[in-house]
Amino acid sequence: MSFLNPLFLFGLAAASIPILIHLFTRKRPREVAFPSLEFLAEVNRSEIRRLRLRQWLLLLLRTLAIAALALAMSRPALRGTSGLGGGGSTTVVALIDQSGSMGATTAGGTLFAEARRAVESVLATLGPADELLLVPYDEGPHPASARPLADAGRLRAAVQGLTVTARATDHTRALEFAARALGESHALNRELFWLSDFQASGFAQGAAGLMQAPEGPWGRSRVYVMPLSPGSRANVGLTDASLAPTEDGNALSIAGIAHGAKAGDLSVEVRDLEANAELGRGYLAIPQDGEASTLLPLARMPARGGVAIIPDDALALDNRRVFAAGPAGAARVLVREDGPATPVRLALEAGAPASGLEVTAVDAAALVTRIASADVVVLDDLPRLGPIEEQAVLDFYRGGGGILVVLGSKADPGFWNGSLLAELGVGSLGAVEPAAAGAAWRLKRAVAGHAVLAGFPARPGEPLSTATFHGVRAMSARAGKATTRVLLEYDRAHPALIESPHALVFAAVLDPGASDFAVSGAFLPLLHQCAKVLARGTAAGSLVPGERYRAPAGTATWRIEDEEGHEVPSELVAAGGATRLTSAPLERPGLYRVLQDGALRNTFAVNPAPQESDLAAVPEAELLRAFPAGRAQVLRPGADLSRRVREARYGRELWSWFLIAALALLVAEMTLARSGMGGRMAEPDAA
Amino acid sequence: MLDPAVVARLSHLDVRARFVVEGFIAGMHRSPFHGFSVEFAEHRPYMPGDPLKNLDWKVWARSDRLLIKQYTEETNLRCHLLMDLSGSMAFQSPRAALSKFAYAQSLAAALAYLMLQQQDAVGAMLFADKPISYLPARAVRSHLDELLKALGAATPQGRTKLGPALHELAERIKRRGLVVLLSDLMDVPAEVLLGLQHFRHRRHEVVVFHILDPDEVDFPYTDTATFVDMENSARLTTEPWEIARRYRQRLADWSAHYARACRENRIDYVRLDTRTPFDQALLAYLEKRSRLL
Repeated sequence: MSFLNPLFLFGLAAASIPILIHLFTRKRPREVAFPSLEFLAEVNRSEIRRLRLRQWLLLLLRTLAIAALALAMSRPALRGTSGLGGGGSTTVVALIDQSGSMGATTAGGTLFAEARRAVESVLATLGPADELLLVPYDEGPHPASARPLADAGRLRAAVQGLTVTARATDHTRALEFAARALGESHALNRELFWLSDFQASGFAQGAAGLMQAPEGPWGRSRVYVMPLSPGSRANVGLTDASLAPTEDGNALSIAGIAHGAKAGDLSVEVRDLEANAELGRGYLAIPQDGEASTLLPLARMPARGGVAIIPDDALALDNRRVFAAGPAGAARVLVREDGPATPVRLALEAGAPASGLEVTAVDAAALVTRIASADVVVLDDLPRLGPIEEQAVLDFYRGGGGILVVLGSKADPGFWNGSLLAELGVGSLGAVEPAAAGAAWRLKRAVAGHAVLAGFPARPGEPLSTATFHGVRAMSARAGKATTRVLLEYDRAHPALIESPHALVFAAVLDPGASDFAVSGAFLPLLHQCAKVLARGTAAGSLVPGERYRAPAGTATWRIEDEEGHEVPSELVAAGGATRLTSAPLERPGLYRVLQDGALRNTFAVNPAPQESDLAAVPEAELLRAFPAGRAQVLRPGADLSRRVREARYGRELWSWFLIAALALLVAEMTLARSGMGGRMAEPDAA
Repeated sequence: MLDPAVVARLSHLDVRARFVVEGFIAGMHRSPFHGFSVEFAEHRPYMPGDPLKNLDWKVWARSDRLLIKQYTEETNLRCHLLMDLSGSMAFQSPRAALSKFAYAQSLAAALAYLMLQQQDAVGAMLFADKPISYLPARAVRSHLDELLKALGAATPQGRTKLGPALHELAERIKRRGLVVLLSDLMDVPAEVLLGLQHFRHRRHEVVVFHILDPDEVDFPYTDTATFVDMENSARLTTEPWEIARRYRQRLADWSAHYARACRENRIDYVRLDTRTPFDQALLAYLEKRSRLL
């Protein structure tokens, strides 16, 4: 017998209350003068044994009644469903991992197919009063129904309809969801079946960290950990495939990673997705348990996009990586500058078109005419804008276009503070401040984990590069505005790169006499990532499954298609005065096309997250340790799964019996007490 | 209705006695006073004109001589009131207007008044574990003051020893008559009954007024209590409501035993509690007297 609310067992201490009351509340009897004690003494002598027996019996009944009540509240229950008719109901939460790694192959197919069969075995254990909540999960839980279902037919259909996704894994979120679902159940038995490959990268702490289950009713639930192992955990995956600028033509930057695989040369084939023609072939020298990258020359630049393919291994998902190419695959950047080419334009133009940026330098007149087709406008250290181009830029920004404003030594604070900076709400521009003699500023990182700064090793507070600034453009960031934040700074009083919705303001004097930042290694990637983030929302070469495509979008008919030409749901979302095209979460890896009024506007790639390539699992012992002792056990799919699960369930809850016993004891106590009160209650005899 | 609660408001014993008796008589349809004489003195020869009812028929039957019975006194009956003064008689419960002693005192005074009104001779004996005072029976009206004075001065005291006291009193009363015992009979029944039989042996007629307090009978106590014996200060702590039923049964048995034994010995037994109206006791006395004369 077990107790479902064992804390109430402390209530057994209350059983001592009648004894304590008996001992400590005995009143001092009052004295009564009486003519003769002869009869009293005689009756008392004969009655005293019975009286004492009755008193002790009453005390015992009261103590037992309270004890039975405490036991009833602690919900005692018997295990096993055979002996007592199986009156207890069961709520089952089945967490089934459908992340990309569950597509790993096994002898019988894939891990996910095994998981589906295991869930069907679990379904077979359910009785008429039982219910199950099917929760497939990857980055997050996707419950098949809002509430647990008792309809076995619907549940089987839901299980059959499950498919593996390409998304990454987050076990913790799924477990939190399961804990909540179990917590809402009032069934006698609460069970969690957790079917997964328990990929270590799916836990926040990874394989080395100590895993801890989130708060939940684990003390009243049973957890069945059902680990599924692929045929081999050795796996090699592509982590990057992006066009790279070279001096002698077109090339594809290929990166791969090996997990548990032997070192060797990995064959890589690149094909044009549209023409289905080979673009190149080569090898990637993969070390054991390590990463490698190479540049693979391409016969020609694909018109819209291509795919890099490596031979099949344990996980097919990461053996193919697509990339966007051509004009549609690049972000269109207009650079408005005065005079000769500036370091900003030169840096943005470097590597095009392989860089993914299509850069065009424009003057005031061209800006107005071409701004409608641009994704990003860069205003490069202009003293001021003419009225027409100022209005064009403001309209472009208000329409959702991305703007990068570089404010150097030429910028006129009087104009910018009253114009675009006020519109962006990022603060106000000041004068150029020289550094103290012998001193210089450095550009330091102010935030962690921003897409613009992805790949920079500096942590917040550390310099982004070794470049120095002898003079800076003073900026006072507007305090307290939630939509703006400082990404880079010279010091706390001098912000450098300020972000506002789809706009970046870079206050930097890049003249050779004032700074060497323009020739530092951080300059080019910083500007490229600024432009890409403004155009696509990410600096990465491709999106990962589950992300949404977001881009500025004017009034038109928009359509997003996947590789097979199937439409991906999308909508125009107006927020902050701008309209952006936003897709539904993108599930399938591949090359997607964005059509504006039927014409190709853009292409973008979706590739699996690199962490899904690592098939290393958390040890089973550590999984069990994450739960309260004795609450979790490893359960392997097999013939005796149903028997083991049924035997572990509580067949019957006994609290009602204990409650009845408590009531019966109380009734007995009252009856006994009233029988003793005959002398007190009854009319005196007419002796 | 001669309610003891009303009588209790009268402070003087003589007033109480008069109130009880006159109230009692006023409620009767026929006067109980007939003026008999019961004390035989001598015979004299029959003279024509003598009432035939005074003719001694037994002598005529034995000797064929007509003799008239003559009486020496005018009194009708010689009565002795035996009053128990033991400590237990002092008990008075909240429900009673009089203590057992005060009830017996009032009843004795009323009986004495009634008897003297009937020209009966009345004496009194007060006793506890032994005789305390004794007033011989006399029929003069002035004797009432002495009786009331003696009754009024009495207080309950000491332990009950009815048996020896009754024997001693039986020896002391030479001439046969009526003996009225007012007591709670809190003693060994066998000894009490032996004492009463002693009176019967001396050819006295006996009336026992068994006086109890209502709480003594009903035993209405509920909370745990320590009972203290009024005669020997013994203590007993108990749960009254637990033993009440058995106690009442035991008291009833005890009382029934007295009633049965008295009946067997031709003793009138009257059970009274201190709420019983006095006329019930007076009627019992008058019935007894009417049987005697």
